[in-house]
Order: sequence, then structure tokens, then C-alpha cells
Amino acid sequence: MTLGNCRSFAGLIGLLALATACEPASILEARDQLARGGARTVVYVLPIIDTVFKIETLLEDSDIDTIAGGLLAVEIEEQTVPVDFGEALEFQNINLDPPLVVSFPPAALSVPPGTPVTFSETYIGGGLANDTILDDVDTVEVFSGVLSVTTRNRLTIPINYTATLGGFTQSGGASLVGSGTIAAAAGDGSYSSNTLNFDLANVTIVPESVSVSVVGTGTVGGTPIPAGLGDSAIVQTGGIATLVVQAVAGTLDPTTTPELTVSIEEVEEVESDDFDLGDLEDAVDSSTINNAMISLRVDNGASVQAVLSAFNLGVVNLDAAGNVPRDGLGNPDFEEDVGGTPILVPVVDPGETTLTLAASGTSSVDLDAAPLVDRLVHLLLDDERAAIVAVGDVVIGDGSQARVTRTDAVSVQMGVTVGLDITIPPTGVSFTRNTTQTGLEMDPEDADQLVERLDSAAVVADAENNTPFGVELDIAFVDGYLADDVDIFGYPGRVVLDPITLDAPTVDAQGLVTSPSTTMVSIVLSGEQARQLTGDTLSATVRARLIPGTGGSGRGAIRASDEIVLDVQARIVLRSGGGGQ
Amino acid sequence: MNRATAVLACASVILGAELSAQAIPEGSQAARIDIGYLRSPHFRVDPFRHVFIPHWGFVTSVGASGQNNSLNFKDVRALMYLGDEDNNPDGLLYGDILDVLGLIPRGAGFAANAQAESGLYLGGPFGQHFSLGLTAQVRGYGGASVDDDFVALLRDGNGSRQDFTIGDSRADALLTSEIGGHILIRTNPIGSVDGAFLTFGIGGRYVTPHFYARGASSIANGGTISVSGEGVSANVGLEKSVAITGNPGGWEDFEFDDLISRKGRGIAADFLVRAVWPTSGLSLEAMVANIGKLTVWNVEQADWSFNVETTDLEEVFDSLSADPLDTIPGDLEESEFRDFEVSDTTDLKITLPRIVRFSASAWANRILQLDVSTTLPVTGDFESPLTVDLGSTWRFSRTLPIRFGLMYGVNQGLGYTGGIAVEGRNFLMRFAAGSLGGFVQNASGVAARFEWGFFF
Repeated sequence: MTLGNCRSFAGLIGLLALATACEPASILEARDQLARGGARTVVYVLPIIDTVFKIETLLEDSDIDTIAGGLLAVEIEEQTVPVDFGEALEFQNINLDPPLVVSFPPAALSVPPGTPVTFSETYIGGGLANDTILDDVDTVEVFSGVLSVTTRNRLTIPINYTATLGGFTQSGGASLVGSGTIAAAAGDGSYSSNTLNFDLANVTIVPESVSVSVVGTGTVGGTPIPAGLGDSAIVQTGGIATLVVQAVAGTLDPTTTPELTVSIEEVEEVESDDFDLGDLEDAVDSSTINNAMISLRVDNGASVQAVLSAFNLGVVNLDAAGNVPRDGLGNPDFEEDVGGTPILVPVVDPGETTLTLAASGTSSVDLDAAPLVDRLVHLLLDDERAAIVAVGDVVIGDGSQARVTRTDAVSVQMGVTVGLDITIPPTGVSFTRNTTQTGLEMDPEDADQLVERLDSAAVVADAENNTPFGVELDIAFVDGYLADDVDIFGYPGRVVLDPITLDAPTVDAQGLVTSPSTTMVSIVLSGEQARQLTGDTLSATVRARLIPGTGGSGRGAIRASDEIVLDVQARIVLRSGGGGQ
Repeated sequence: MNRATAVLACASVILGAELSAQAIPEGSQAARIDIGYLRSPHFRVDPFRHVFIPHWGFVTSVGASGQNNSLNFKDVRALMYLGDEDNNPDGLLYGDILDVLGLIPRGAGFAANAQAESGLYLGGPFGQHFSLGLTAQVRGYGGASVDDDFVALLRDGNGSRQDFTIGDSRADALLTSEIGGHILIRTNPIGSVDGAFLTFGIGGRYVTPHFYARGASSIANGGTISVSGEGVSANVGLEKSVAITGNPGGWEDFEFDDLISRKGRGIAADFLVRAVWPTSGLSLEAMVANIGKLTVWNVEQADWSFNVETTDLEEVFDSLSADPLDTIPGDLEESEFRDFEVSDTTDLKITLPRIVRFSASAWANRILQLDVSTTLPVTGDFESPLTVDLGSTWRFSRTLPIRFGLMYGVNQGLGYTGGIAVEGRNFLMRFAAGSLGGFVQNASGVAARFEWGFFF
């Protein structure tokens, strides 16, 4: 007897033994055979979800922050508003004062025909130096402006003249010079005139050095010049209507040079994609934002002190073309509160009425701006175009020696933080979230049999609500993978579970949770509902409705620590055995 | 008082007494045959099986038995039927497996064991007081159990309990060849002609392992598996010890002929004492066999473990994919367990499955002999449960005994045995079969034995 014989013998015994057992005649008979054990139930309790659902996960794609009091906040992309006060700096209505006057004695005019009449006058220290507008200005570099010099003549002979303007230096260093001819006057005492226009672009004016020199000549004709015309025979006047400054230097004192106070209006549109409220967007859109902060960082690019005075931030609803709406006076038509008052946020230092910026300095200030941000966010969530408008005065200089150029500006970096301290309406607000997860990965045949054997199935959810709101959860799921934007509640074959209601915890006057609420919900599943869990992938949607809490008048402050502790278990009871023999 | 002391005490009392309460009838078949043939054959391992034959000659034999405590043959056929795609395109379903698990006795877990032997005997008596037998045998032992603490997880679910363990789940198998010799020393009747004939048996075997494998938990107490509504955690490990070939290639290079090569060595000893009252038709016997240890060379020891702690079933699947399973993406059912990682190769010393058996026979009848024996359970490796055999031998003809019996095993329950034999002066042939744990189709085990020999 060999080892092989032994093996063969043992195999033979087994085969003979199996042969004695008749093959089942059908699948049913075979299954009945295996089910010959006593009827019993098998209870599986399986975890479906045991998680801490933090409210902040609703903002997973957002730029979130935690602010004072642990409040969760969404940050709007930082906006930068340049306040170009240098461009706004200009002087107006500068006159040559007093006028230049040339008179001739009677003897000078009682000369034979053909005798020349000449004159030459220079006024040093006159002209602009006598205009108080530029009293405290040492130099002015002109961006644009025209000096108009008009020379009048009441002699009965034409006068050729040349005017040289000292203190007006062209870029090459030469003074401004102009020549002209004044026609002969009528002789009745009236004047004829001639005007020279000097383009002042790129001209540097030194007010204290301004002088006017006029040299002229004429020739007496056949007709004698009436003797009375020699008094104030030649009169020259001039002025600058608007002088736009390229740079100005001197002892810049806005109290003596009111032109150093410039009015500013800057507009910065905020795009709807500059912030993301994630799955809380609908909730916020239906709510009032009670906490928002605008953090300003103001950089003074000028080497001179600047003070923002009567400077406010407001929100406007731009038209479709992006234009700022304006009232009858041409001012921005700001968004208003329920009382009809424009929603404006003063830009001031704490406790002050202005914001002072040192020369080349930086200042940071946080502004409480809940109403303004609330209006801004709601405009954007409603697909409107909106902008933040900065209006007010920039007061340049403090009386010290300084220089301001046209490119000088104040840069305002504006960070808007939307604190999720919201007041939701009594009807609540809803948001929806779709997810996919792995199913039980059963074959369809296994799933069919599972349904046949199902004695009962239930989902048991233990939940603890640490949010300031009540929550009603509607859950629907369906077998298979569906895209995020598919409405599973309307999808064929979906399973909709009974709602889960989490009472709102008690909150304090600031909307902060003082004690969480808990609940336990058991939801019975039908066999077909349980079958949806057996596929490879499960698509589920959760529609959550936030309900106002019992305190705080519907106000709820969402903190980073706010969460819903959710423990969901499936309890599946299957029948087994109890069949066949 | 331990078991051995008790046996000796009882034996001393019995042997010194005259059993006059019964006497075999005149002309009964039992009185006409040698008392060596009155020792009824057993299905299981019995090293003294043939040395009792009162004639010189040789015997070849083969026998096997195996049983489990859960599935009967009809169940197995049903499983085969459902697993055959020709019959059932859907294959075995989860619910079918649940039903099968329901057949595993609650509290006992799944248990199965098997033994087989085949060999050649040469020997015979030297006079009335001495016999010698030489044997060459091939023996196999195997067993498997799945602890009820593990079965319960799938069979009962986790509704009422959440903590499970692999526990004492194990599987082991040993195949040996051996040569050995056994002697019997018989006494004359003690006290009077009706007194007891005592037979003392002793033998030794040189055992060579050819195959050894063992698997069990590598973590004390079977590790832990916790499945509750709050989450799933598992810390389980298995260790495997295998010596199958002399080649490092392991299973991949395995061929059946490799079993011929030696994988170690060991010595086994067998002892027996038997008292027979021929005129009273009674015998008592105690046997302790297979005492010894076996050294298996170059046993590859390998580990496999699975650890997870999560509240998410998906993570359990992911962990299975990442750790113990060699997965096909998206198809766990087609995945296979990863290979065990070999941690060590060492010589392993194992204890042979000890056999302790007490038997009694009575033949105070013209044709009928009754036998009862109990084989004590073996724990640990090659575990086997307590069995009690109740047999009857009907000798309508002196040399043609017919045997029927009942066999009770703790694992499988009550079974039925039967056999026929030719036990002559020059020829021996025995065939016996058993339906264990039920009758025929409903049996959860089977036993069979065949042997024949020629005597000079």
C-alpha cells in the first residue's frame, strides 16, 4: 500500500459519500437544503456616518477666517483703491495784478510825423507775486495751463511790442517771450488790444521771481496824436484761468492755500467671484449680516502729510454698463438703509473725525461696516453690479516745506471680512449639498436576495446640534453616481427619507450657542430603500433648512467651533434558515 | 488521583477477581476463535491493530475517517450545485452563505478533523506469550476549527454583541511515514483457568514527517474585532507554519512527489494493557499511543495581519484593499489574499496527537459480541473530540463476522458503522464503513477501512 493508494482511497471514500447524496433538482431545492437550519434573524448594526459635521465645511472652497469671539468669517478678495490726489491739484483764476500801465507825457507825443515813440517797462516783484493764491508756494511746475496776456493801446498809431515773462521758465531755462502788434486806436479814448497766449505746460513758475518786461515802439504819423491819450496809453493785463499742477513745492499749508484741499471720488467695483460663501450662499442671501469689518491699510505715497477729511465709503449699484448712478447734484447715489439714509462708513482714526496720514506713512484702521457689507453682498448675490465708492477730501500739507507731484497718491487697500453673524427669516433658509460615497458593492443578485430576506431595516441617527440654528435635514439618495448639480429629490428611483429635525439650541443675545441640543431619530427603510444602499456608488443629497434659534431674535453667530455631531447607524435584520428540511 | 492511577487501581481490583457472573455458552463462536480476533477493529489509529492477530503473516490496510460538525453531504451537494455555473448562473449568493453559517452550531463554532492511515504489517506470535509485529505506515492527521467567537460575527451579526475574535481558530495537517515494531507479552490466566489473561503491549515507531502545515492566530487570544454602530476596529493576525518541500520555492514548486522527501524525524511510543477473561467473555483494555515529539525541519513561518480602526465602512474596504487583499480595483470579490510574508525558517518541534483509548468487550453470547470504547479528546494541534464507539460483532459463522455499531462524536453527533470480514487461519479481509453524524445523505462525516492479509 503506497502513499498514492492511501490518497486514492481517501478520495474514493469522499466521492462515494458524496455520491450517496442526491444532487438537488433545482436551485430552490438546493437553497432549501442550505436553509435547513432553524429560522433565525441576523442583526447587523453598521456605521454609516459617525462624523463631526462642522459648519465651516460648508465653506470649504471659501477664504475663511476666524475673527473676534470665534466668529467664522468669509473674506472678500482684497480691493485696492488708488486715491490720486496729485492729479486733482490745480489753481484757478490767477491774475497778473496790478496791470502794467505805460503813460506818455504830452511832449513825447507832440512830435513831427515819422518820429518814433518807444517805451520799455519792467515790473519786478509785481505780477503773480501780488496774487494771494500762490503766496505760500515756492515753485509750481505746470502740467497744463495758459497764461493770457492782453495789451491795449489807445494811441492812434499801431504799437509793436515784446513781452518777456520773468519767473516763467521753460524746460530749457529760457523765459517766456512773446511779441505782438496792437492796432491804432480810434483816438476817442478807446483802446485797441492784442492778446498773447503762453502755453505753460512744462513751465516752472517761481511766483516770487515773476516779472513782466514790455518793450514797444510806434511811429507818429501825419495826424497828430491827441495829447490826452498819453495817460495810460498802454495797459497790459493777464491771468491764468486754470493751472494744473505737475508739481508744487513750498511751505504747503492748506489753511493759506485752500487749493491743497482736493475732493476725491474713487470707484472700485467688487465682482461676485471676489468671494465665495460656499453652501451658505443661499442662507446668507436670505439673511441679514450683522457683523462685517472693513480693514483699511492706507499708504501715503507722497512725501507730505495727507489728511482724509469727510472721507466716506459707500456702496452703489452700478448700471449694466458699470456707470455710477448719480443724484440731481451729480453726487453718487449711494445705497440707503431702510430709513432712506445713505449707507456710508466714515474713514477716520479711532475717536477722530479724520484720518491722518504722515508723509510717506501707512495707517491701518478697522471699520465696522455691517450694513454696508450686507448691502454689498446682497447686491452681488442678486447678480447686480456693485461698487464701493470712496468720496471725500484729501487735505495736503501741514505748513511745512514739502513738494507734491501729480503722481502722488494715497493707496487704500481694503479687506472686507464678512462675519457669519446672520439673522435669518422665520421661514428659515435652505441650502443643498450633494455627495457620493461607496455603497455595499453587492451584485444585483445578492441585492435582490438581501431584499427578499430583509426582516427590517432602519437608519438610526443620533445628533447633537452645536450650531445657533435649528436644522431640518431632508435626505434623498439613489443608486449610482450623479453629478453635483443633479436634483436627486426629483431623480427617478430616488429614496427620500423622513426629515430629521434638530431643535435650535439656546443662544445668547449675540447669537452664540449656550447649550447644544440633541436628538435621536429612527427612520425605517423599506426593502427597496435598503436596496439602494447595495450598489457600488451611492449619490445622496442633503437639503438642510436652517431655522432661527429661540433667542437672539433669529440671530445666529456661526463660530468655527459650531458643528453637528452626527452618528448614523444602519440596523439591518435579515432572515436566515427556517427553510427546507 | 489522576487518570492513570485510577485506571491502574481499577485494573488491579478487576484482575484479581473471578468474574463468575457470566460465562460464554458452550459452543459459542467466541469460544472457537483465538482471543486475538476478539479484539474488534477500530476506525481510528490503532498501532496494536495487527499484532494481536494470532498468526504469522502480513497485512496491508488503508483507512480514513473525517467529520465536521456543520455540513452534511446533502449540504455539500447543494453548495456544489449552487456553485456550478451550469446550474446556477448567479453563483453562490450572500444569503446562501448566511444559511450555511446558520448551520454552524451556536456556541461551538465550526470544527472538522480527519485521520487516515495506510500501511503494511508483518509479524506474528512466538508461542503463547509473545508476539512481534513490524509495521510500515503512512499516516495523516488534519483538523480545522473556526472559533464561535469569529463565526458569530457573520452568523449572528453584531446586534447583540459587538466584540469578536479569531479565538482558537486554527487549521493543521501532518503527514508522516513511519516504521516501527510492537510486541505483546501475554500472561497465563491469573488465579485460575477462569482468571484474566493479561496482555502488555509496547511499541515504538520512527516517524518521518513529509508534510506539515499549521495556521492560527498570531495574536494572543485571537486578537480583537469590534464591529458596532460607532465604528469598526480590528487587530487580527494569522501565522502560518509550513514545511512542504525541501525547496525554498514553497507552494509554487510543489509537486506531489516532494512528499517523499524527509522533512524531519521523531520517535513515537505506544503502550497497551489488556485483560481478557475468555471464559467469562469479557475484556478490558487501555491504550496510550502516539506519545512522542516530532521535529520538522525548515518550517517556513509567515505572518499576515490586518489592522483598521474607523467609523467609515468605506475605509474598511479601503483598508482591506490596502493591506491583506491583493485587489482588483473595484472588484473585491475577485481579490485574493496577499501572500504571507515569511518571517522565519526554523526547525519546529511538535507533539504528536496522543491517543488515549479505553475499551471493553463482552461476548457472553453464542454469536454476539458487544464492544464499547471511548477515545479521549485531544486538544491543541491536531485536535480531535471525544468519541464513543458502541459496536456489535455478529458471528453467525466463525470466520465471517458481521459488524454494526454506533459511533458518537462530540463534533458530529451520532453515526452508524458497519462492516464485514473474513478472519481465517490463512486469510484476513476486513471492510468497514461508517456514516458519521447522521445516516448516509445526512451524515456529516464518513469513515472507511479496508485491510487484507495472508498468514502462514
